[in-house]
Amino acid sequence: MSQSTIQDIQNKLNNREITCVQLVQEKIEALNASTKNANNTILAEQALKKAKYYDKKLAAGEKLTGLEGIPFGVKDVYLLKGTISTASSNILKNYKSPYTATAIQKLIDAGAIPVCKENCDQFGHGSTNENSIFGATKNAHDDSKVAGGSSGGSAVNVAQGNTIFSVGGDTGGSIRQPAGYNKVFGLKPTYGRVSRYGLMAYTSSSDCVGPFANSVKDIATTLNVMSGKDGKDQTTVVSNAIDVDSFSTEIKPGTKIGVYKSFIEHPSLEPSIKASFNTLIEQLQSKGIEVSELDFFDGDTLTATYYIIALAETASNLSRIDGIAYGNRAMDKDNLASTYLDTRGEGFSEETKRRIIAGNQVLSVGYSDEIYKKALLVRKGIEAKFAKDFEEIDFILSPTSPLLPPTIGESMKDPLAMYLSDMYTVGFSLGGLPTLSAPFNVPNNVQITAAKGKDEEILRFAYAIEQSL
Amino acid sequence: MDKLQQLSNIRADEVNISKITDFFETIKNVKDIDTEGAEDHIVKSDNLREDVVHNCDPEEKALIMENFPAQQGTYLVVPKVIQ
Repeated sequence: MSQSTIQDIQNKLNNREITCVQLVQEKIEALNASTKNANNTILAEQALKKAKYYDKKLAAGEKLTGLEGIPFGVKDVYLLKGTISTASSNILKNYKSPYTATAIQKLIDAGAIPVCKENCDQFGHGSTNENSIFGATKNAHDDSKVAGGSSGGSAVNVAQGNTIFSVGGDTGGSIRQPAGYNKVFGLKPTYGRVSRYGLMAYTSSSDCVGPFANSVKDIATTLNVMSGKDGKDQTTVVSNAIDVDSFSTEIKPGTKIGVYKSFIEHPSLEPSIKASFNTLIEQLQSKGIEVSELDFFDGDTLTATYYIIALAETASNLSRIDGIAYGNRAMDKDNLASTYLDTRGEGFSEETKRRIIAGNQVLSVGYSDEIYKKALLVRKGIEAKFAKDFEEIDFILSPTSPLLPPTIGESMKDPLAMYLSDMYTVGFSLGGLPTLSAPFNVPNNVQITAAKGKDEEILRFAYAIEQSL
Repeated sequence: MDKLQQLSNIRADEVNISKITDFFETIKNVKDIDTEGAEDHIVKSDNLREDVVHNCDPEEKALIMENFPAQQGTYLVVPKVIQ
């Protein structure tokens, strides 16, 4: 797990141990044969065409560099020109992307080959990957359990080795939690590090583009390619490239980590997760790491703040999807109002409709000041608390989820319980902080969070932990 | 029809949002919020791209037309607005 899969595969291609066509063909066959329901579309024809191009390059005596020849998966909320991009919804079931998302285009420009569009919760609305017109994605390690969400298909493909890496999206935990449920690495970068252009918007103020991979180094390599300022996303920021080759295997003694008491003492936390998390902290202390227990907002407040803001923003963002210029339109209605009502009534799932309708309530007269603006104020309080904490410590460590992966079919009966299961991930989203979900010896992974812009520090620390323990 | 369904332009009589409203009570009860040290804005207005016209790629234009839900000859058909 510790070695770079990308580097290993590219070495095999360059040493002519395998051709790029063989590699891509093998992945396409594995994706087709998978019974996990992880993919909405498999891009066999386009991918093999690109593989032939890289084989020609090799035949001409050139070496592949960057991400050339590496097959990857794309969550089905990203636009990829000419392919169907559904967001796992009925309304966009036949929607063909007119252009390609910036992050995906950068990966393609670096030579990576998209092989599939991956199953996910509809428009990112879910934590189990059951809110999809294509049905639930099954957990990589247990068919009866959920894959997690919303980027469930991406996590499962990487866990099964069917993609070398995949690009997910994380608004309130949608990369970190499925990474945990399927035991792979998943990074939510600092908000703004990777362009959101071409990602179907859920909650614009916390939507992040990030990778899933089987090693820390592959996370860093793919993040380097996707990062950067983009004129098409005003929130993007300049960032420095991470020097992957200089990662140290030693944990730096004196590194300071914080643990939130309200997370560890929460009654919903599964005992086996709590016990193994505490063991990990003790192991790190024995390596010279200083650990502080910190006060923080309780899980219920974090979840309420996040969902109120997320509902309001998704109600606004999805108002554009009405079947007029694109999407499946309800035809032959008596009047314009009925066309809208039925197009959106038939086009969105129950969970997506719930979020849009609740979002419009949050924004309506009588609720806007008391609920929405109050949530924005609490968010500011959360950001202020993070700023203070990171003056004293380097990293916050936390479990990714309080629960073990639920059985398929259980969560959709009780949406509130599903929302509350996001309590450990949503706070870091509200703060725009970089957070890695790492498959160390804790069920559902461990989150490592740092101050804004410190994505590299997190990856260096995670690599050292992985090598040291 | 329910006012929220009208505001949302969604016919959704089956959808229940009552549990979400539990969050409203939680947020109302948060006291003593200390915002000192928080950043003012995520989006900064001095971060603008150059004001340059980019022509639409013809392939992109063709795909946008292909996605239009109803067409008649070279016309794009929208629902009747005036009754």
